[in-house]
Amino acid sequence: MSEEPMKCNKCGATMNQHAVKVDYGVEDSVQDAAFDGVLQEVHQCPKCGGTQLRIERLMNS
Amino acid sequence: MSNRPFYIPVILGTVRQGRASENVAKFVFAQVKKRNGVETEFIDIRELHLPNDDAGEQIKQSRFSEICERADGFVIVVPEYNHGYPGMLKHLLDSNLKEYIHKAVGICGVSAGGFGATRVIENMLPVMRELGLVTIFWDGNFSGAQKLFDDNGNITDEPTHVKRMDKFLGELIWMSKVLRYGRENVSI
Repeated sequence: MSEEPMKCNKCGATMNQHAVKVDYGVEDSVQDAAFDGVLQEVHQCPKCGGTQLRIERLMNS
Repeated sequence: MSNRPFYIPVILGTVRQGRASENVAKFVFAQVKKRNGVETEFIDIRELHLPNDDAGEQIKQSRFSEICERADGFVIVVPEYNHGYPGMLKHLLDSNLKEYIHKAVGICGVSAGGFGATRVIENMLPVMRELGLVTIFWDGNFSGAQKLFDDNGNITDEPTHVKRMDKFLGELIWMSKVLRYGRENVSI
């Protein structure tokens, strides 16, 4: 996990990051050359079921 | 794990006039509705009126996106057209991404011939995988679709198909439960 846990933008609960997915549809300066896309963290809200993405910012990069 | 009811919509994946898949989708939808603790919804891609001058998340529709975000699993009813899936179904599926990740999907194939749409089901698997969906090992196989239902839309060999759907939905609901627990509690 690259940053602090996300808060759900619908209910405010702390979300759980359960995946990282390459997103080929986003133009971004942090596009990862190894994957030819943007690495998106996938977060799930355990309270309301909401889903949010956050661009992964690798700690060591 | 949160105690929200499990939500597993049924997607009818063709817009073709006279589609035999509609009867199948209604039959499958009725079977899902019988399951305790599961809420469902019938999604007809014809009624979504997708634009055809763009594609991908640029055509994301809020209603379908909300359905996908709420969903714990999906049933996709897909006819086999020339061994492949309808373009409109792919067009719809491509309009979302984060809403699918680590959610279960079961595929019900519909064919005019006798092979239970196994070819289109196999063709769907790599697409499901890239969308982040998790496939189950049971399928719905509906052969001879034009003769499978009577004039009132009732399936002619109900005991066989109810028994098959029972196995299919048992696995799909189990996978939906496991994946919800994982999404909510297991960190990567």
